[in-house]
Amino acid sequence: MPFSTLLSLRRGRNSTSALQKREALWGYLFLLPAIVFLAVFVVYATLVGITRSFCDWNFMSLNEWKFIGLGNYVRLTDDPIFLLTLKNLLAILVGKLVIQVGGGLVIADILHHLKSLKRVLRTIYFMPAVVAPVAVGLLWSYIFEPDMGLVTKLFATLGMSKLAVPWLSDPVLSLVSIILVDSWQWLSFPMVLFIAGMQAIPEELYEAAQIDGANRYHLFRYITIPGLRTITSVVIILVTINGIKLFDLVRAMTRGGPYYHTETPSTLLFQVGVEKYQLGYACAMATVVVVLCLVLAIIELGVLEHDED
Amino acid sequence: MKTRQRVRTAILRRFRVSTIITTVALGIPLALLVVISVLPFYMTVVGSLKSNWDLFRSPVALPPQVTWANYGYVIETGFLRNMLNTAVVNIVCLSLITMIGSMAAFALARLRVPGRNQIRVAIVTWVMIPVYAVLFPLYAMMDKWELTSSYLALIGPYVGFGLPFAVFVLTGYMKTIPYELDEAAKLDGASPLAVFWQVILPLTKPGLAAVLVFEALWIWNEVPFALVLVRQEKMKTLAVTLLQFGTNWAIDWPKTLAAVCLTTFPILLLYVMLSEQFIKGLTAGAIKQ
Repeated sequence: MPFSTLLSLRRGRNSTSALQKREALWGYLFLLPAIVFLAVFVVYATLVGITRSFCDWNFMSLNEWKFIGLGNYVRLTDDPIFLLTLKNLLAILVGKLVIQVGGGLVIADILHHLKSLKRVLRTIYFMPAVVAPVAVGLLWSYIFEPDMGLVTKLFATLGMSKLAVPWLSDPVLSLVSIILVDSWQWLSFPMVLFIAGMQAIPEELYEAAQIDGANRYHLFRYITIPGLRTITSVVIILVTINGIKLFDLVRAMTRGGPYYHTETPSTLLFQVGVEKYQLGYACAMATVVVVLCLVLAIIELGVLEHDED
Repeated sequence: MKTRQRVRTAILRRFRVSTIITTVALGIPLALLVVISVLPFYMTVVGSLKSNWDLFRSPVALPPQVTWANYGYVIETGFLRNMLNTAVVNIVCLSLITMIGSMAAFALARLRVPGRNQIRVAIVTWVMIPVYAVLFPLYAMMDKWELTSSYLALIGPYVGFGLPFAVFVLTGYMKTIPYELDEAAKLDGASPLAVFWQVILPLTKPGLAAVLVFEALWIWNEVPFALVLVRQEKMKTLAVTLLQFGTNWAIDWPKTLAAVCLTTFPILLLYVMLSEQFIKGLTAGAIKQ
């Protein structure tokens, strides 16, 4: 007897549509708790945040707000500090992408071709990624500390007096140190993803190319890089989004200083909201950050969908 | 086949001369990277065991005289209470996220729910929303409900923000389980609840492990929510207390380093034991398992 007949026999009195209705009902029941949590704490709260960005809203009177239209956004466009944070963010993103994606790719390639020690090295390199960014920020501000920190001592010993200065209170070097420390923590993240991507490239491709006389650089340039196209797009987007979200490290290392030179939109909106009580204005900054992230997310979805075809 | 092997040995011979050079050229940067990865941790441990004076004389050397006073001071400030807060919030959130998340994933991956693809996209898209979008609206909400000195102020937001990732990873994972299993169970008259609990959930363990690691680490280290939503000193989490430690006007380094150690070492210890799980968990969203 064919399977489908067996099925319909078994179902007997219940029609198929009734069964399907029951299954759908169960489905919605299973989804309900997740939807409630999301609706209250994520969706509703986000919508409130976006609406309040068009309002005058103060930390001292949380239950009163006044609609002021585009006022907060107009103020954003000629707030020199906000524009400075955008400039800082851009520098951080460029630095992060070059060091973490570029460096991660090179190290991944070296590790992937290693015969022994591969797992041990990967485990050691990944260690900083599990530590709280606040802890990372504190331990590195200790290393950058001017009186006894290693960095100042190191450059003083090397005779490079221009770099033997207090890094975290220099307008340029402080931003550089944020980028370097963030890269110390997250370099291994792209690395691990690239290694996973490399494992999916068939070994025969490399052997065939070697027989044709390709050297190590050729293998990297003409087989590895094209084979990693999708994973590279994903990595670039993830690193960028993490850069936009960067908060803990800056708060722990420099608190945005010296004079806003390491402040990013994420830390500035916290400062404006909590320390200057201007919640409506802070919500406008948050909305800008959300839009930045969403644009990137849509690009990522596009890349992944394209890959599925 | 034989010719192929001969070609291969020829290649190997040609590469052998350069092998030594390559080993040295690659070995130095790899070893340097090991030092850079480990040295800051070493300096933190060593620094936390020194007196101020010893630390000032040499930050790198082993402590001439080991002192535990820094740890004593940190613990006296109520650090253990903050650690307990983080642990409680973490355990409650992890239970809720995995439970609610796997239920939703089950509905989306295994049940014929009309519009399930649209629902999945509607849930998973929120993975991208940064917490800053809701920071102040949620503070106003918690203030209104008078929860700013309660664990609930963090539990709700953490579960809400943790769920999209959990649903994303678990749905993907559950889709890889053969569908014949549900059909067979259904033929035996099992309800969807029984299929979920007895058939699918046990097979989803690796996916659940990845989600657990990711969310636990996120909640343990999270700052913006914990900084804004909790007002009472006694209720603050570890990461926030640590942040306050480091931003005092005059930083007492040995004590701060002791606090860093206390926060970091439970995690590092777990990582050394379960490193594969950690790496899998942290990269779960980015690559297909």
